[in-house]
Amino acid sequence: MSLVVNVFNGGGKIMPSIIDLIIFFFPMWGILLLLLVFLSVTKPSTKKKGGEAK
Amino acid sequence: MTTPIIVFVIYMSALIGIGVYTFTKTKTYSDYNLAGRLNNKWVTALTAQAAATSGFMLLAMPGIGYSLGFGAIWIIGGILLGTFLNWAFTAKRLRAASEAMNAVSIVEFLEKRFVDNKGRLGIVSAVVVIFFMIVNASAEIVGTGKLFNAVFGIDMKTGTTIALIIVVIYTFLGGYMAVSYSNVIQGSLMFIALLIVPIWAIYQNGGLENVFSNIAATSPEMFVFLDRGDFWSTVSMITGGLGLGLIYFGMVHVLTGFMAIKDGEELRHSTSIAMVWECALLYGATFVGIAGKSLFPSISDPEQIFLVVSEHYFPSVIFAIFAAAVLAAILSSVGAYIIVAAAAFGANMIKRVISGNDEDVLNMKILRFQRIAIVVIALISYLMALQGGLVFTIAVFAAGGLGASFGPVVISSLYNRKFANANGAIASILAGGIVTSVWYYSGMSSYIYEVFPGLAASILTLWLVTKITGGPSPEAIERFDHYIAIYHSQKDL
Repeated sequence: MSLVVNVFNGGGKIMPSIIDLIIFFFPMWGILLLLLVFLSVTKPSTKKKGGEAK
Repeated sequence: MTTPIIVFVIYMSALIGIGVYTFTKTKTYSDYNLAGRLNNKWVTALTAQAAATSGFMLLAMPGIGYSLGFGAIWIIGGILLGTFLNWAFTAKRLRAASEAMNAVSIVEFLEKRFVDNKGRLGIVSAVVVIFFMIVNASAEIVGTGKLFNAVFGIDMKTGTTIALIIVVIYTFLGGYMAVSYSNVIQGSLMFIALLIVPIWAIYQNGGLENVFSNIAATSPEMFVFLDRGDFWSTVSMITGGLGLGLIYFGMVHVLTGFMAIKDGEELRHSTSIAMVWECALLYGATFVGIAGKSLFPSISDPEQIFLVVSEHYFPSVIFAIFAAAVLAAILSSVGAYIIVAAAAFGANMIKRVISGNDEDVLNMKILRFQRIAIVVIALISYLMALQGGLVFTIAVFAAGGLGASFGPVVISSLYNRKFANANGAIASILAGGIVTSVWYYSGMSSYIYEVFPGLAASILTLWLVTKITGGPSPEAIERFDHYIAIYHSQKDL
């Protein structure tokens, strides 16, 4: 069976490399990074209205 | 055979127990349709995710891992991005807006947001919601048939009948509260199953390297990200996967989950719980398929690989629990579909033909009809399910239909005061639903996923019809401003 062009896996090696695995998990670590950004942006203010610290 | 039966009987008894318990707790219309807006961050996250992912996660996703291998990256990416954007940009605003307008369902929310006094928007959206929820439920019920067939060897018809009776009983009794509580158990069970099964399957295979070398020897195309052999198959895989990210803004059963949280501020924590849960399950399910390909290279139905692996490598009691997890995944969604469809029916159709001065008495009357609607909707779904088919294909069509019909309307209702009016919303919902359905039934989905033309038609129609019909009314703009004021005051607290 011919291994058609696999642009991500290092010139057509049959076994996936560590790079392939990192790419395969990209949606997961990418989204978890986005989540961290979201959490830091939406972090509730620690100041009361008028600027007084809690 | 005895052990799985005992485990299933215990599990199903627990679900009926939840139905009976929540029946005693549901005193009002809001209790029945929105769990009284009392869900905490964990219940909200698990309810929404379990309802969103359904049998897809334990049947279709391992099947995709089995068939596509690393090509599943596009589906995983699409789902994760869509899920995240929905939680981050829709959840909190919708919670605030639905409370500001005292709406207990998405259909009721749209009707009030666009000040549709004639009720046309309510009826059109209710019909579209009910149609796609029935298609969705039928896809899931097909899954129950496969499950009972694989576990007990009984025919699909008997299996689907048993599952349907259980889900109708607990949804009928406890409404959305029963769906929420049972989804917490079901979401947890799914998480445990998809954590243990792939790890154990890879271990049994002698480690990940052995899994990969077995696959490399027989199916090296499994490691290809991009190329599926011919141009259109590749395009279909990529657009189909990424297109799944576009359906979430219109998934009415998930949006209902956002509305039911007690404190909108807790939604940021729910987002974290939901995303970690989703990542773990998607990769767990895919690796069940990949390890399964190495262990059982030629099974006839890839969507059964989770069950095949579980049965082969675990004692019968554990296998039965994992099989119950599959049932959990399916029932969690079917319950949500049915209650959301029945709520659309009750709030937007029955409300127009029943009259009364006392709102509580009126709502209790509507509830009685809604309970009858639950049984009818379940029966129609059951009859559709008897035709069989692939869970994945039917489920992504129904999800695409919901996404294309409601996504643009929901987003514009929350973010822009002038982009849409009631006429535009009606036209957009119809255009999205019709274009998606025509595209799917004409077989064009083999080239491009139906959500793309559906969404394009929906957005264009929303904008154009709103413009032609004179834009939103002053009352609709006022309602938007009122909700925005409440939303910002909650943020500032």
